Amino acid sequence: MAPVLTFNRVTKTRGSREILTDITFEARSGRVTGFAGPNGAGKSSTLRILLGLDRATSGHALVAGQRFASLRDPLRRVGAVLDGSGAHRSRTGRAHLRWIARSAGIADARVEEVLELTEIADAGNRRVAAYSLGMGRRLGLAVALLGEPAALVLDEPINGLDPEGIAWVRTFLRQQAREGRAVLLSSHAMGELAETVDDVVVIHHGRIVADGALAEVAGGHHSLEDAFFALTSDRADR
Amino acid sequence: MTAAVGPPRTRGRAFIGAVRAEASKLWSLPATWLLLAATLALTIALSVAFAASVRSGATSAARTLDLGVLAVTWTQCGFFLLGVIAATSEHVGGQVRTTLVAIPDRIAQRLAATAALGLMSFAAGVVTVAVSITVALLATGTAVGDVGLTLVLRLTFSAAGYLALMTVLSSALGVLVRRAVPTAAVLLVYLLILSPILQDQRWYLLPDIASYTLWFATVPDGAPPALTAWLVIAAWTLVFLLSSVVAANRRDT
Repeated sequence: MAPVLTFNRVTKTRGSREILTDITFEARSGRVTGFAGPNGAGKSSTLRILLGLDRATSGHALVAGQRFASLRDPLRRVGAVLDGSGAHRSRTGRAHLRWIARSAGIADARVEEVLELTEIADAGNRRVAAYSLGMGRRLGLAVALLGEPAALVLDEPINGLDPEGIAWVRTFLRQQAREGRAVLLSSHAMGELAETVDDVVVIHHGRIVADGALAEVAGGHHSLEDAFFALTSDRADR
Repeated sequence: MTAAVGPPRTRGRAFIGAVRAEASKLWSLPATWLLLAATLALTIALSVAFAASVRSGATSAARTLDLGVLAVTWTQCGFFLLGVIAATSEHVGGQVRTTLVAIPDRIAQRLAATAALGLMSFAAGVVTVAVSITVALLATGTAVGDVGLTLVLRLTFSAAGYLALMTVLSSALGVLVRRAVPTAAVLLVYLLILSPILQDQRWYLLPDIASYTLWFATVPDGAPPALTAWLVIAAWTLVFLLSSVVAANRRDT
């Protein structure tokens, strides 16, 4: 399976502080890659660099061999869900999806499809301000799926969701990988990742400390959670 | 299954898509319509009040037209605020990240947003100014033929062009500042306090003061010719627009 998303020695500094150091890993088609790390480890910064929202100080992150910022059909290459719904609170969910669809020349019929797919069609005409956290996440997923992209990138998609919402996201992402997409999701909730991902990349203090198939990374530990704590505890740094 | 990805769109088609997206974004934002409706309503109210201060038939045609656009010198604040809201609403709910994921070429995104906002504000400007003049003509019992349709059209389109450029300028300032309240405060203090003071001192290098040459039938003494006035307005707009493009292109979001 070909790598769709590649990070090659990505380094990011802010002022004199190095946020990310030599980040190198891949996410492949048909697999869910978990990008795990404690809060503040650099997960969101890494994903923002991939999506062209932040600039790397050195190194590069590529989508199918191209910089995201150079893509003319970005929605057909990568669907992204970042923190929150990414929508203005006073616009309706449907209007939010429609302006995004216009940017890619996608028909309104596809907007209705993704509203159905993410099970928020009934709330399409409600203002985003009235959405629950879970509905906001589903709206974000609907945006990500608009262009039927080859890859999905999700930053903490289960953060704050109730158990039902978490189960829905987990099933949804597995389905997306089965359909051939590369799915890259960040999370600090190890227990939930273990039930969702095929591959795991662990980041700590801005450096990759483990990268491999789930069984490899968890090997020698009772669970992925134990492996995570072993890899990211301060004792592990020393 | 994922859709087969065909050859990438041309740069031109991608830009047209970006303009359509930005226009759709403006169109679907309730604040856009609230602001334009409030601006129109206030323009009508002020126009009626100004016209009521003049007895029917007691004023010249040029003076009647000046009365017709006088309200807009105050309600142009609505267009400045439209620009501010268009830019700073991007930072509500993290929408700016959605925008830049959908339109990752930041220069194209800024230009597309500018094109959409410019077109919308020009159309709104034509409606607002035309209504303002119509109210003054009706209130003073003046026929369009008495003041000249060509002159009415020239003043209307000149004012609308100026309002569109000021909306774009305000939007560019909003992109630079990123927060609605400070941006609006700067613009309103300038328009409502500084500019009236400087107008008496004939500061024709300021955009709003230069513009009065273009959309008042009675040209003030010492005012620059129309071409110079347009150059002043365009130069101010370009400086802010280019600064906003450079800032948007460089910053992390």
